[in-house]
Amino acid sequence: MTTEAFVEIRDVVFRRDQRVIYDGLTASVPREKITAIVGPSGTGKTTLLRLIGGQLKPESGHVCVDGLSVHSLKRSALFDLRKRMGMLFQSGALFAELSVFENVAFPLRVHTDLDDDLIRIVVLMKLEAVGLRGAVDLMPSELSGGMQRRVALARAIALDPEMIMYDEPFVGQDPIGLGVLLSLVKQLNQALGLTSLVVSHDLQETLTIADHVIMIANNRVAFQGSPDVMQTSADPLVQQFLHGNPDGPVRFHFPAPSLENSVS
Amino acid sequence: MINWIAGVGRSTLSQLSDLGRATLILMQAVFGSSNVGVHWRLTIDQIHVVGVLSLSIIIVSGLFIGMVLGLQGYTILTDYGSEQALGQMVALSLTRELGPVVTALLFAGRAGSALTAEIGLMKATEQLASLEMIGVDPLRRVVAPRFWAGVISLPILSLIFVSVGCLGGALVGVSWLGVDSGSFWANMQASVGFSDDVFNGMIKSVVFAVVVTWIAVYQGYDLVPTSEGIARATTKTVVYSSLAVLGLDFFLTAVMFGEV
Repeated sequence: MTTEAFVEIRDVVFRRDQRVIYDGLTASVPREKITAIVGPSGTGKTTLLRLIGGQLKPESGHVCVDGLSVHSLKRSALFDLRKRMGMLFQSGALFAELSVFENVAFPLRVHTDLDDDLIRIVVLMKLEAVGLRGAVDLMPSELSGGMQRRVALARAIALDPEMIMYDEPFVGQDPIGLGVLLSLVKQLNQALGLTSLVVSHDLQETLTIADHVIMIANNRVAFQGSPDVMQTSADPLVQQFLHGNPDGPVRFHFPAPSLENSVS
Repeated sequence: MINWIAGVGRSTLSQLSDLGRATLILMQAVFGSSNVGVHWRLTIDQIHVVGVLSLSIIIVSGLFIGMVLGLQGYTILTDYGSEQALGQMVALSLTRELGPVVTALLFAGRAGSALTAEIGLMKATEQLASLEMIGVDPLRRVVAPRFWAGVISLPILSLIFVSVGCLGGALVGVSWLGVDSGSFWANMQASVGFSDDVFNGMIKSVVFAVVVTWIAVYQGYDLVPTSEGIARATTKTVVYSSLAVLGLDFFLTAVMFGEV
């Protein structure tokens, strides 16, 4: 049981209005490993996290998390499944009217019967892990964007989930914060046996901690495997992305009619 | 011509699907049973925000509308020498019509727009999405308490509006213009029936409360999460609620008082 993939995505087709985002996407996220999801911007990496979390529904195809088909679950079962996942949003998405302490305590208050003393201990431990125990009494509006995201990370791990999905965790972090976060993601993964999914643009940094890479480009999975294999891959698409070349199989331009037609 | 018909069809379909979505959201929010204790506490908090904080505007408006009714009523009734009926006129106008309708319109402007903007901003800043991922249903946690708070607050505000309005009418009619105090209050007491007037007025108020709050929370929950989307949804809340209140008022009045 434990060797199987934690998340299994099969033949997913997804569209936003008329624009095709995925056309038959198949990928799997191994259990208790760090999986990096990389790809050019606009390819729907965040969308993939939302499909896994059941916040979006694919047109066809299946998404299974720990053997449960996310999109055929009842609403209440879906919410139960989500308790086992943590998600770190791009913006942090802290509750603006609650203090840092209450934000991190929120999942504990809602889903557990722990008394206040115990909740306080857990919250302080989680905040200590992200280096923000000193900010416990501040309001989210008093924090910088990078700090907000670290508080959001503390909140995401408050319930000790089985899987965490990080949406661009490294954006807006200074080099020190970046280094700390990288090792934190790694530590959490090893210490708690988490399955981690990291969506990131910081390719080189992410690859240093990832065990598995899923690269999405041109509406499908362009590469899937270990970072080492990725570095040596002969696929021009992978090479273009790794080296940041402007020309290659990945289109930098958003689909458009030819320039002559647009101008005339 | 064909295009025009197609346009009408398209907009009808999109409005029907809006109505369907709004109904689904309301049903999931209202009939989702989970942790009543916590939700009751959240509802009390919201009653404070949408109800108690609307008190000042309701009391001031009620007082002035009562005073204007007293003044206008007096000038008309003296022409027929029946200024003793002023109490009856003021009280009936307020309980049957002005109380429920004006309170609902003020409520839509004061509390409804704020509900839409608040829920909309929570959506735009991904707070609703993050609630979902924490395993908390935002329909039950965010929408339901606000809906119930509106449904409970508006009828009470309406009662307060009517009471203050009657006092305003008395202030102008009795204290200022000199209508006999005894006949003012006795006439009012004799002509206003509990089941006919007060109760019917309350029914109107409850219906308006459901409609206005429903529109407000739906517009907030379903808006396009951008600053322009929030602005548009807030405007829609006020416009749709006002139109719905006025339209429904005619319908309810026709049913309640039409046969007289």
